[in-house]
Amino acid sequence: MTGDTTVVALPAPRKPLEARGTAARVPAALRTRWPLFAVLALQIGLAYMLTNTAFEDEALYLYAGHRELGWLLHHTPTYDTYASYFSGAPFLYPVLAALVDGLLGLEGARALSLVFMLGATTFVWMTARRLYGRQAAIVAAALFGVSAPTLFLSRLATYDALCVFLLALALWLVVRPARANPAWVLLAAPVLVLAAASKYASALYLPTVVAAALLVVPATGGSWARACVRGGLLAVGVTGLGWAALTAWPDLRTGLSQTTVNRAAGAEPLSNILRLSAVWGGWIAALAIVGVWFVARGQRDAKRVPGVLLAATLMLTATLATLYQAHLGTSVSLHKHVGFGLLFAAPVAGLGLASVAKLGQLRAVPGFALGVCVLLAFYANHAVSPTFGGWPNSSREVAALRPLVVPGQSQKYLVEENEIPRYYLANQAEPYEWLTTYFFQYKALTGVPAYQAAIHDGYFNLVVLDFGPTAALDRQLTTLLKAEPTKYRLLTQVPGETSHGNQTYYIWQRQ
Amino acid sequence: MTSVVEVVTAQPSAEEPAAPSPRGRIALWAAARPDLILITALVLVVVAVQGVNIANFPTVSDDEGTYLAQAWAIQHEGALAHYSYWYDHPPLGWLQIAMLSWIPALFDHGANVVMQARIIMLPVTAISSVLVYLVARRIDLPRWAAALALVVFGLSPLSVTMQREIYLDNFAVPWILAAFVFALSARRHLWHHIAAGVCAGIAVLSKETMVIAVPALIMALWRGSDRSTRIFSMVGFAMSFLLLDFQYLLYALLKGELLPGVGHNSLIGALQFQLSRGGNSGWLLQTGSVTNLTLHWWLVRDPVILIAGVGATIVALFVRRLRQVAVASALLVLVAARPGGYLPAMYVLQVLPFFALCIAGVADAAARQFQSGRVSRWLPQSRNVLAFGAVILAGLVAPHWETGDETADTAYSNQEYVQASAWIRAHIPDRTGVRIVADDAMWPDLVAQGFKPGLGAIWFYKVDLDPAVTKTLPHGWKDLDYVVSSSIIREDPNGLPTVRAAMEHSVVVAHFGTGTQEIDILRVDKTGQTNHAANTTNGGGQ
Repeated sequence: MTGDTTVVALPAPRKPLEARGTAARVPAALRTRWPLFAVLALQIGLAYMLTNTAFEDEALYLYAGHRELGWLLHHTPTYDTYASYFSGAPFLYPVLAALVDGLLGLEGARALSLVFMLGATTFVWMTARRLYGRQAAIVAAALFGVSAPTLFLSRLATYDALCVFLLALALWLVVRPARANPAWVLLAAPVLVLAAASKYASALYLPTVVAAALLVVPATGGSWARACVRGGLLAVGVTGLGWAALTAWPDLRTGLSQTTVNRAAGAEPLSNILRLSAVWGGWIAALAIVGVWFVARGQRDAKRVPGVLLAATLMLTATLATLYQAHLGTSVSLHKHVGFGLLFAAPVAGLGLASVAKLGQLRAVPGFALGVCVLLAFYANHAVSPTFGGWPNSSREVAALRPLVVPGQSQKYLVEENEIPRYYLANQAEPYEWLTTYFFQYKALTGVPAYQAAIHDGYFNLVVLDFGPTAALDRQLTTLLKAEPTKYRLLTQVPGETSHGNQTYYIWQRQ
Repeated sequence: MTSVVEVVTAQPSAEEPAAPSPRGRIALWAAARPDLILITALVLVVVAVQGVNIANFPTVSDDEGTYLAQAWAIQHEGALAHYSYWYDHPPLGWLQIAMLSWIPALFDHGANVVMQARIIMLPVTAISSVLVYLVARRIDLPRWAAALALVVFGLSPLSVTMQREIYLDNFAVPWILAAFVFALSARRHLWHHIAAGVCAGIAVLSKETMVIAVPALIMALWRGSDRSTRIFSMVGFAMSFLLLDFQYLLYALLKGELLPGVGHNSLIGALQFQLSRGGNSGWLLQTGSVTNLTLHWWLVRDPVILIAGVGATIVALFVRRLRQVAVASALLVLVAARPGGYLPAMYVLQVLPFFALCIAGVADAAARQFQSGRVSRWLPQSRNVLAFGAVILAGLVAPHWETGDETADTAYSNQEYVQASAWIRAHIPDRTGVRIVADDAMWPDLVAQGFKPGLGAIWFYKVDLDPAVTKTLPHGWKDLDYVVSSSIIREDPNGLPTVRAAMEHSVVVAHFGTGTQEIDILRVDKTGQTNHAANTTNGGGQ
């Protein structure tokens, strides 16, 4: 101070972000998104805690991808009609995964799934931030990124991860330009059709995205008329592209019908299906209900009703897989399918937990939200680990078969769940050399008589049984293999470790 | 013409508040009674969890049947027991069971009386839960901590399992808790302290081991009484407690059964027997000992409440406002841990409410330290650390308890008793002249089916140990017709030669279940041609 003049030191005015150039913007963007990066890092860490050899489906899709790729590039026959029984287009994900598998192997294909799921988590963050703000986005990304289905799909080379990613992208594409020209919503149409073509079951979630495209407009202050135009445009776009796809590739209709639309019903108790759903996604669904409640408690203005409808739609989507599989009476793959719904419910669940913990308010308790997320991550890992270790580790089986599978000769290998050795020993045998215990035809015979005649004739070079899905038939085959005069000898018994004990592969060789 | 007065009275005054809407009145009423609302909601949950499947889990025990049979004797024979009363326990426990016997009568009787009678435990649990909450509030716990105490007490799988059973300890617990509530009454009224003595007296007359908690109750009375009138409170408490409990001694004295003697039961003799029972029970932490097996059984049900309860008890001893309940808990634990002492499985029921109070009290003390105490001074974000820790703890315990409670609510452990009872009903038509030996879990059923109480339907212990029964069996095992062989009887045949002989000279006519749950109905072969012991010795079979 000098004399009577008071000098107030004001901070130097900061340049606007745009004016600071790219070099300044990038660190700032990273700073604001560090919670997302932390979640992604955690997702990677938890995912890589899961280890096992290829699952039956992974081996099947990767092998099919290689055969399809061979057909596309060299017109090598596939010796199979994958489109008739695959639950997704065989020329989409399988080919993409086979390309990566050819370069980096199974771990590479699994890394591709991880990339897709990391992308899905990122889009959950972006969607939640658009809808409910940064605090909700942090929690939503954490809830989704470390949930049991996400971790499982992050390490599974099947088309589920791709579909989840595409659905997440489509949801963000309809939420992001909510106030822009309605035509922008058409960007989501090819993404949705691609998702549905990659895995037909993901068509179950298309109405949710269309509803979100509609409701997000009035929920952010737009008019209902504009919303209807937007929703209508997307519905027409998706329907048109879908119809075009089915017309261009008629084979897809067969697969769609057999694997998804007219799938054989099971008789699994409803309680099992509900319990599995609750364990794999129940808490996120519960928190989403809390989120809907907080939206309903919000400001009483024109945005409230569509806001509640949007949140409720996203929340209810979490139950679609459960309802559909309850209708089918089966829990097969439910643990994966639950993850599709969580993608939609996660932003609302993020809002719910963030609101309970009062995040962004004066007396916020982030410790509470963090505790819930850590706890859910702990239980997600608890649920996923035994499931990922649930199929037998096939490394010893494959090692035992490798010297026995002779390349270049037409051999016959009867192997229960032959997808695994067929994939690992793809360079040593042709597809038609592998036979399965699910179906077999021999000299106009089928079923047990066919196996009986073939064993009697010494038709199979190798028989590998593990008393898995066709255990009853395996017992009959074992009796036939032992029956005098026998043409087979039990060469070796190979253990395959699972999370619930050992499974044994019995390898019989023709004498 | 309308007068001015009429106009004024007809129109509501602007200053007079309008009557609240019905919805508003309910909200106001509820807002004024948060404790009541909270207790009601929590007790409903506790009772629901305990009530579902109460008949089928856990397995009915001989003790349950005994207390029920003794209650039956009070109602139907005007006696204190279905055989001669031998001062095994003070009779007030089964007197209360008899008073509640109208409750099962409201419902259809199933095949097993003990299973159906378990419904009387629901009001007992409800009352105990409410009293745990009240004690928690009276030791200055906030509402959330009192609710936590209630939840821990009512929903621990160990509580859910054992509070379903018709044990005297379950009847003693609400009385001792009521004594604490009165002793810690904020009004410090002399009559409250006298009531505390009465409640403590009834608790001890319901289950004598509750006397262990009385020193802690006296500490609570000291805390709850005003310095100027403390002497009156103490005297009032002591007089009511002692006068009530002396009635038991007086009863024995007037019947000439106070001191041991030839040809009669006695109170002192029974006490000597009870104290000598644990001679070879070993120590609580001695692997393989009887008491260690009991501890292991508790730990299988719920390790959380036991480990957290002991830990919280130690901590609570150092927290002034928790000291009284901590002392009660510590005394009960110390008595259980004494080497060579007899430790029945149901003993844990007495300590569970005090464990729950100590756990909730320590949680509250920790929360206070984290929010505004010492911890908050050196730990940044202590409030968030507390929230994080609380969520993790609750999240780790809740699924474990959910699994245990789900087992209690879904398991079927008594099908063998039901089937055996149904078989007897269908296949032994002439019940008046038949003598059938069974455990007490089956005894009330047999009596309900028409077998003669005491000498027709015979509790297996009494065949060899009660002279009044033995003298009616001049030909020993040959005077018996059937033995219902349950695990309870098979576990203890060596001290009962007549029962063992009857089982050895019998054929299995019906067989239910497997393993320890197996129940065989044996028909005694009075010709003596059947002898399993001899066959076994000779390497033969049946």
